[in-house]
Amino acid sequence: MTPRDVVALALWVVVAILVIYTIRHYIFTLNRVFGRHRQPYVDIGVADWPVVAVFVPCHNEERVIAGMLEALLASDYPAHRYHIVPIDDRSTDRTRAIIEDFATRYPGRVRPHLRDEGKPGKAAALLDATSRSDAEIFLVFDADYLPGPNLLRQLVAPFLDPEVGATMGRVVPHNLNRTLLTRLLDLERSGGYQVDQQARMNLDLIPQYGGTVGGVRRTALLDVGNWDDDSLAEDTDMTYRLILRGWRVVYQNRSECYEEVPETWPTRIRQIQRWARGHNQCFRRYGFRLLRFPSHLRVGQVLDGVLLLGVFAVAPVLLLGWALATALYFMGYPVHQGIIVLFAVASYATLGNFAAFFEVATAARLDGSRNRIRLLPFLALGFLVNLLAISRATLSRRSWLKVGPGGPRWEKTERYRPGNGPRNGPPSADAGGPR
Amino acid sequence: MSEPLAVALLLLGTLGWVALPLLPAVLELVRPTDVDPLVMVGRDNADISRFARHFREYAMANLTRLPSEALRGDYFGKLADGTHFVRVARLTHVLERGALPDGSHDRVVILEHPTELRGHERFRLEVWAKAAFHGGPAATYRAVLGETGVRLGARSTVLRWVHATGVLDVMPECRLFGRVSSEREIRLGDGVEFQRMGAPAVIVGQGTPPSALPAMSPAASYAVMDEPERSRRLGDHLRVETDWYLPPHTLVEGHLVVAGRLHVSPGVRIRGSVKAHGPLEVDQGAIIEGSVVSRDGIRLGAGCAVGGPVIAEGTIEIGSGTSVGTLVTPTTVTGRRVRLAPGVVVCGHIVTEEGGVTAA
Repeated sequence: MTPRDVVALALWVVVAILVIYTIRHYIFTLNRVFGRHRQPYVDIGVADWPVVAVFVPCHNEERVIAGMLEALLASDYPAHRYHIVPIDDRSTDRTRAIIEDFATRYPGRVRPHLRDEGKPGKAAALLDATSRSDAEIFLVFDADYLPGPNLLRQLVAPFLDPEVGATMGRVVPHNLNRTLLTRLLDLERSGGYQVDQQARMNLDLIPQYGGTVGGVRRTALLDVGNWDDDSLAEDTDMTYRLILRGWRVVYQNRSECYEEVPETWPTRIRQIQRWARGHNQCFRRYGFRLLRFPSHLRVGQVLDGVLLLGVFAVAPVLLLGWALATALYFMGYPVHQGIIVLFAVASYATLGNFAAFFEVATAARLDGSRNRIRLLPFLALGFLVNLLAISRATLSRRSWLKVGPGGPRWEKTERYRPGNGPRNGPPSADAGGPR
Repeated sequence: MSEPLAVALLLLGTLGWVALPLLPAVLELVRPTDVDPLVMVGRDNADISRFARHFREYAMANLTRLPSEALRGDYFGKLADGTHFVRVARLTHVLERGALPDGSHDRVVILEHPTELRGHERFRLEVWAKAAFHGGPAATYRAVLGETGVRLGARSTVLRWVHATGVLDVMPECRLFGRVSSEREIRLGDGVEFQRMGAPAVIVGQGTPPSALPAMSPAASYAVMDEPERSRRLGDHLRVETDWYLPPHTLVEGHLVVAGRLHVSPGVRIRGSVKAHGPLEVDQGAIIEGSVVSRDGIRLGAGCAVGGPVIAEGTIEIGSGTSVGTLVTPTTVTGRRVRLAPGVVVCGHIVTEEGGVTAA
């Protein structure tokens, strides 16, 4: 085998991986267009609701924490069945003072957990707070989120099914009118939740617990060994431990919650690199365990699980493919002119390259968005930035090697809200017509 | 044409051609037209009486802006937003005066006193009955809000919602599209079709809503469940990887999840929730204290009692005399289709994707 043949073989492997992901995009997109929308728990309006602790891990969140706590206090979940646990982990700004003020004003309902020692980071903070709570269900929100009044009830309803270990709601950006980036992230989020996550739910695959607007059942959490404070992505890590053990993760598309998306590219790059490192860590931990095809999982669930784990590793694979194709060109590799090859290349150029774009466009359509879909071509810009940022993170040591001493640390996304409360007034939970 | 000019034109033309599909994107970026955050679905379907409440608020807000004569005696007029209405204070034949040639009514009808209609009326806008309301047979309503009791005559149709502060009595073969709610009790005749209902008690025919689940028989009268070979403990539930059958009078402590079909025999008591990935059949007299969940359909036999929600992705059939939920702990029945036999009592909500029916 000549070096040129080796390069050609590597390119075919890359092409095969990309085609698999393309097919995955289309399966999800077509499912959302033609498939049955599966949401078995969303209509549960009355029940004997379990006791819930709502965790809000914070590290320097003075801009957003008051808005979050106010939104949670306005929940229609029975007041005697839930309490809010803001977990302040070594904030150096006014976060702690704001939390303590709420605790004074709402004794019993806001029960702060203040950390000054132990491992830093979200997973460690959650682990600490979990050990001090006797609630049946733990809901977890990021501090910049703005839940509507019925969200807690919606997120808890799936836990009435004894097999459900975790639930995840939908994230909706509210600051999308700030920059081109926020508008592109709005489209990305649409595609990711409205199509990707919901299709996984419809097809009974592996919806992902996302750690920012979702919850975990106490018994399931303890059954899989509690939060892992060495994890770079405690949410993905939890998803796979639950699935591998035999629990279910439920995604609820109608359990929507506003969030603040990054408004600048450097912040976005840091965010997506953090996600990539955490995801790749999970790939290393759980990829091969999944490929042993546990008997309680279907083949489709295993394949979906592996592809989901590998989703951030595809970026450097794509870059590698470009490099290999260029190298082959200069090595004088003969391009076959057969009609089938020509057809395959043409098909991929027209359909394959745009699979993710079709997914986003479908999501925008399902959301009833009117004109935001016009920004779709600019997603190519976001795609290129993501490609390079994710590739760099994926090729970094932290993605694949064990976390060093001291464990993970807080890697926070910058907040933009000027004061306490939502800027630009996202629509209230009771505004607008049904979609 | 000189060569440099030709190259420049070609370059410009190519760039223009490439930029053409970007034009709508650039316009949307420069002059945004769709930058509001997506509206959250804050009013989820679980709030069954929401439309009725909003209508009451809307009507009251509009009525208070009318001149005082509009609030005395019979009155034909317009609400502040221009919607036509008729206020019937004394005699229902006033209604006939305002009827269209085809006999239908295209105005909001406000009934101030107890009213009994003859039947076959068609109301294109809402009916607001401030006192007892007895509809006649084969009437069609867009929506009905009753401030006390409401009775819908046989074979009547409600297109959007009906809500009663008192008892809502639905005669046989009515078709209830949309939301049906009462703050006290809903009583359903045979052959009633519905989509979503909610009340402290929904009763098909005759029945009494329970305030608690039946007490447990002495432990000695139950058999202990044998754990199947292909099963394992996960947290607080037992997971069975095959089809499973619970013999009569078995006592199950805790939750049970079955990866296949599940058959629950008569007299079984499950002191937790139960889920099957396949069809779930519960025989006569079984008692399940928690939820009953199936990825497929659920059939609850006669005389069963369920404490928690009944959740199925297929059809739910509930047998005669079975109760779901209690007056103290109301709950939800939700499935693709629901079929209720006479004597069924559901305390709480019944929500269907494709419709439900009461049938013998």
